[in-house]
Amino acid sequence: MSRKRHPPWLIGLTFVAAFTLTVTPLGESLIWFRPYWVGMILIYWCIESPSQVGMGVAFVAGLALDLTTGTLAGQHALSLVIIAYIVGRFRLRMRFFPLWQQALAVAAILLNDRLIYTWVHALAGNGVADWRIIWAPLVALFIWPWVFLILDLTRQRFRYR
Amino acid sequence: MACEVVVEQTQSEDSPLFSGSGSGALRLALYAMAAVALMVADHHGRYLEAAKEQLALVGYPILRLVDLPIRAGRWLGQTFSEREALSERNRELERRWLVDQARLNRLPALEAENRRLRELLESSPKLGDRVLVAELLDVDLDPYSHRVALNKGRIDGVYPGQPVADANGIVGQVEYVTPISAFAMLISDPNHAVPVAVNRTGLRTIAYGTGQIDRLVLKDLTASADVVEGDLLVASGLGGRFPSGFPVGRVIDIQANPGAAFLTVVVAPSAALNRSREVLLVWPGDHRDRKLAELEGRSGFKR
Repeated sequence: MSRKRHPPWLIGLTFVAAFTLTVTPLGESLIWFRPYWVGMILIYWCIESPSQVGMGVAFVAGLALDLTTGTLAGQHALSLVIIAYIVGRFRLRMRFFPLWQQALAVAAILLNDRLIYTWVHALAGNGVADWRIIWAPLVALFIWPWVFLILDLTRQRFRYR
Repeated sequence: MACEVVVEQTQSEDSPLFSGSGSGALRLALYAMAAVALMVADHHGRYLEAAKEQLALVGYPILRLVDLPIRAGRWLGQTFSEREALSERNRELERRWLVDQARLNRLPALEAENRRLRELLESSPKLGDRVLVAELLDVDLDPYSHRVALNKGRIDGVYPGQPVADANGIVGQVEYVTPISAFAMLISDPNHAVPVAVNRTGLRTIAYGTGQIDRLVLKDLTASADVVEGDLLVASGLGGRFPSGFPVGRVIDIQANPGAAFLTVVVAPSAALNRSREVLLVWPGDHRDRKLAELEGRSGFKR
């Protein structure tokens, strides 16, 4: 049983890339179409390297995201920890899904996440639910195969042997 | 020893498709509780402010990283833009400057008059507001709220709650600061409210954000209130946060539902909330000015 280890800097770098994509300005009309980049990167690493990336990393990444985007401290942390937990449970099945089926699962996890996020947001008294939250998971559905392939190629190149 | 290792691996890696994860659920509960505790602490008290001020620095390089190429692109565009376009713009600005200058020339006389009147009212003189130009970082933050990141922070004297304006009116207020940057909430955020007065009558009310960048709403005016389309709203200075007199918006629509006790008045913000690249951080000159604003407000009601 070989336990796969990946260089921590590679994992860190993919997260930095996700943070960067998260704050890149898209313009008023596209703002709801931005996929949850940090969530997607987290899902990928939770599937591929669960010994290195789990709920702890999710919590820290979420806090960093909260501090970067100025949201309530803990809001993204909660969202990412829940994602990490769900992926952790279904990881062994998700790994062997064909790519399109995996994309569906990812979209479902991200939609669930948006619902929780919106609910927390409403509890904090920040307005009501907006149906436009469904766009981001839909976009994630279509770009997941590409994200997965790109990350997989990069990962295999830098894997410890 | 070997036996133990095998058992451990069986649990973590080779478990059947339904991995038994009692400990996973426990850890989820712990992390979730920690996150909720943080949110509550951040939302209710201001317990986290000091820690956040330092920690929020971790995000700043990323905001800068995104902002930089966009800024560089704009700079290049300006550098290589047509000479003709630039000189045309220059002429236009000069024309505007001339007009503004002519208006400004009357200001000392008006200020002197204002001071005399204030002395008559026995209120303290209104000192000039100190301002500092800050740049908006060209980044998107949370789509759920209307926030912007500024490139000035604690070392420039920025403080939470500080009013932010642009050339046309109030933009919002600083929410929290780091040593070198600040996050500001726009007046259009659904969580934001500005105390305003109708400039024509002095009628005071509150302008709430709606979550739409080009809309504010007044919800507290009774059906008989004297407000018409085109009325200018200015900050009333009540609450002591926004200096009185700064424009906030203009009434563009009044919806009176028969049977409802209150009007729904739609207001277009004066400030270019989604277009300004540079904003002014304002240090209000005199906090005691509130008293006068209140007096003015009352006289407005009597009219």
